[in-house]
Amino acid sequence: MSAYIWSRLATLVPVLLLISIFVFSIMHLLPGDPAMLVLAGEYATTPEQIETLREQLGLNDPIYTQYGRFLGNALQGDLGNSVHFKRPVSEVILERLPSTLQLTVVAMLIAAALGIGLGTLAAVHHGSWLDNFSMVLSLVGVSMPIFFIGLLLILIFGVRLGWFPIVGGTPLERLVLPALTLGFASSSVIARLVRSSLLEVLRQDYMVTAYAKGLTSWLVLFRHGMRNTLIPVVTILGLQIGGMLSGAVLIETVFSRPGLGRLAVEAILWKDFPLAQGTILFTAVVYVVASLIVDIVYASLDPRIRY
Amino acid sequence: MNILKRTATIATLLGLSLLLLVSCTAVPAGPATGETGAEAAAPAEASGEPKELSIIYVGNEPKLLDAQVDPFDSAAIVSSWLADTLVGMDMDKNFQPYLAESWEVSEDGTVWTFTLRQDVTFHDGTPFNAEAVKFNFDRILDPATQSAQSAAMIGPVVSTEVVDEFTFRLTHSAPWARFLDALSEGFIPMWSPTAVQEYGADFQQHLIGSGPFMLEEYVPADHTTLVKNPDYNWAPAYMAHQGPAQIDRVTLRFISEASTAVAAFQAGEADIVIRFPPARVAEFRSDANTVLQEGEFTGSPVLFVMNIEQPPLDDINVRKALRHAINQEEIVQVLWAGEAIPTKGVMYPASLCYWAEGENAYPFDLEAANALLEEAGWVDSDGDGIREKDGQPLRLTLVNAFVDALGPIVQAQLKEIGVDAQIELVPGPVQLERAASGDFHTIFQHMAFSDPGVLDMLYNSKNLKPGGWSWTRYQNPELDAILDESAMTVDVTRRCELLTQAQQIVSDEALVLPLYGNKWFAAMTPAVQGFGPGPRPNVDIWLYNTSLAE
Repeated sequence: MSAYIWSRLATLVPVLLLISIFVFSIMHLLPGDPAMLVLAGEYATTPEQIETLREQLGLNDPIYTQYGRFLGNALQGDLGNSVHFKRPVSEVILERLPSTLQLTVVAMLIAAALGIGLGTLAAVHHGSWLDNFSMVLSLVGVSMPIFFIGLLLILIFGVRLGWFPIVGGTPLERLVLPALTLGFASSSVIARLVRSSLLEVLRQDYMVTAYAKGLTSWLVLFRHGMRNTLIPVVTILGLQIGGMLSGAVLIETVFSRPGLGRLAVEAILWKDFPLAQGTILFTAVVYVVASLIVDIVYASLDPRIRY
Repeated sequence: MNILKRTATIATLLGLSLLLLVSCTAVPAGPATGETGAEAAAPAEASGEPKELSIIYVGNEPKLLDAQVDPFDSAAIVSSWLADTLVGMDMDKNFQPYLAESWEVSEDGTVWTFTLRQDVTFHDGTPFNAEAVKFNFDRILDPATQSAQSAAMIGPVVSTEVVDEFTFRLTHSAPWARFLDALSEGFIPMWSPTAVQEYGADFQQHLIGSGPFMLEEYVPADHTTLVKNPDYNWAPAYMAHQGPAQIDRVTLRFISEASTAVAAFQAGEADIVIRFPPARVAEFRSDANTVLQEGEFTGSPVLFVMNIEQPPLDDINVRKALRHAINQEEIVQVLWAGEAIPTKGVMYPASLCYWAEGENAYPFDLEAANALLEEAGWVDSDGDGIREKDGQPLRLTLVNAFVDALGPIVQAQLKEIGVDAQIELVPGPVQLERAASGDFHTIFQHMAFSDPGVLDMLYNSKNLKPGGWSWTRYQNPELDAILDESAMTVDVTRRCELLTQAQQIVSDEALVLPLYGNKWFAAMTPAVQGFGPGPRPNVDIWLYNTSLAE
């Protein structure tokens, strides 16, 4: 097992390097002088202001020097200073992290509960109206853009019914609608997977054997059925972390939450390059590390998996 | 298998209802407690209850609320609620005494002397005096402050000086026409020197001015709470009342997604929603429970800049023909259902020094446009609807940005006179790049700006350089001289004369295709009274006059 973990860790290095190169290039791939882009277009600027910012962003050095500095600093947790916040990027990111963590964790729980629930319902009642209902619901979740689901929930539960606050209320109240939106979107994929996976398991010989042993339906379904069904679901849940993080970008904007996703959008919109680079790099690293953890969990759940 | 099915169903339904239960426990009893609009308005009816106001501002939150550092309009607005400025501007756009009782400027326009009010104190008890004013200007000028906007606005300052306790003097190296306008905007708020020094880098959380409201709580990216300054007694004379503000507590939220902001307002979570897009105006107009306020921005309107170096636009007759072919009213109707200001002038009609006759210079007249093109030698010889000259079709690039739907309308209008406009929709950074390199025939531009000095920025050929705004590439020593002089003329009347001449030249030379100006909109509940934009809605929103009906 430890050999497996080490080999997976080793593959992280080139991935992270590639990400860092990509993130670093953002600023240089855009047409025009980055310093000019940061300042112009928003308010009146003088050439002196632009030169000061060039100096500040280190744009006057050769590009490989700039990348070396970027990577070296990033490894030490220094992501530079935000142009607009005038504070270290890492500080701003850590300030926004809790909000995104809350959202993704709660959304993940909702996704798992809804997804596994609907998927099981559909598989057990295969071919019935419950099956059709669950699958139509998950089809809706898969095909509707997430921001649209968010706006729909706002209109239904916020404006029409008035059950949940849209932007006010306590932090917990404010979490309900965005978490439901994000969770519902993710649950759809999980529901479909659970359904097909469980359908297959239900046909296996060991299920018949379990019944033959005289076990109760509950025990058969949960001890023998679910255990085998959930192995692929773990992988999907892991992949959903990526979906959650990118979904957070939209959801946090729609619901005006002070999270990392909205920070990234604003950084790009305001052309705050150090902040945009920092946020994207941080999110990418979180995703890569989360996938690694899922892989390890997967391997320990299913002893057949070895690379 | 039946038992299995039933149990599984029960288990799943149980799980789902548990989930629902969990989410329902978070449901507030009735309308959310705390700061919602419904609740804020209700207690106001009982006398003695605090009056609370909840405001949603559609747009991105400023990164810092201190407008001496942050460059964005929204920061200037918040700063203007927390702090006072030296000079004020009334609704007729006249400069008025505020923290400065009076001021005078030397004959050569470089030395400004301000006589200050003697009865003002900051929220922390620090007295307001010339020392405090000097401290604020020195802070703005200090490179360590990293002032992005204010430092550029106050001009070429060579010295700041305390003459006596209530007299402050500032000297420019050359006359700076924008100075009074700059001083009257929230970008130059007067903060308490004691607080700035005490809190240092943490000052953003403790903004202390002398304004009608005091900062109670600032939760970045979430909300800002202001409370009434009970000692406030130095409002400028042009305000609707004197003494403390009439609202006890204000909660301000910045929401960038307009649909969410409007939904929150409709759900009663806010009393006022500011700066929502024109597309939402119609539904508020027809809603009896909503009061709509509108204002007009100032500056250079939405227009297409013409590159006079690119043939065929190097021919003034072609440029004039294009101007005659544009139907601004139609654009405003189609694009904004009438909720914008059609303009043929090169400035917003509400701008200071606006030249109104510019509206009549190029009436919508297809015959005149066609005649001008014929005169320039452009005729449709092959009957394809597009004019040609020397075998070349009359083809232009229309580099559009930000307002996607604008391109097709302008394209269709130009097609009427046989011009083949080719739309290129580009993102903001590409627009800047194309403008800088001159790789366009016509290009989108919009500069809502409080001071008419925007003309100097846009049409003075000294700004024909990377990062500069002189996109039309027009070079005329006469116009440059007028604009140079206008930037150094402190006297408002003389300055407006010069800027009027400049508008006339820009119009006569047909350098741009003016289209329309945006309006400022706010929607509020009927209980809100006296809330509205000041003379320059992009930076002035008068919260001080606001009250809640009994």
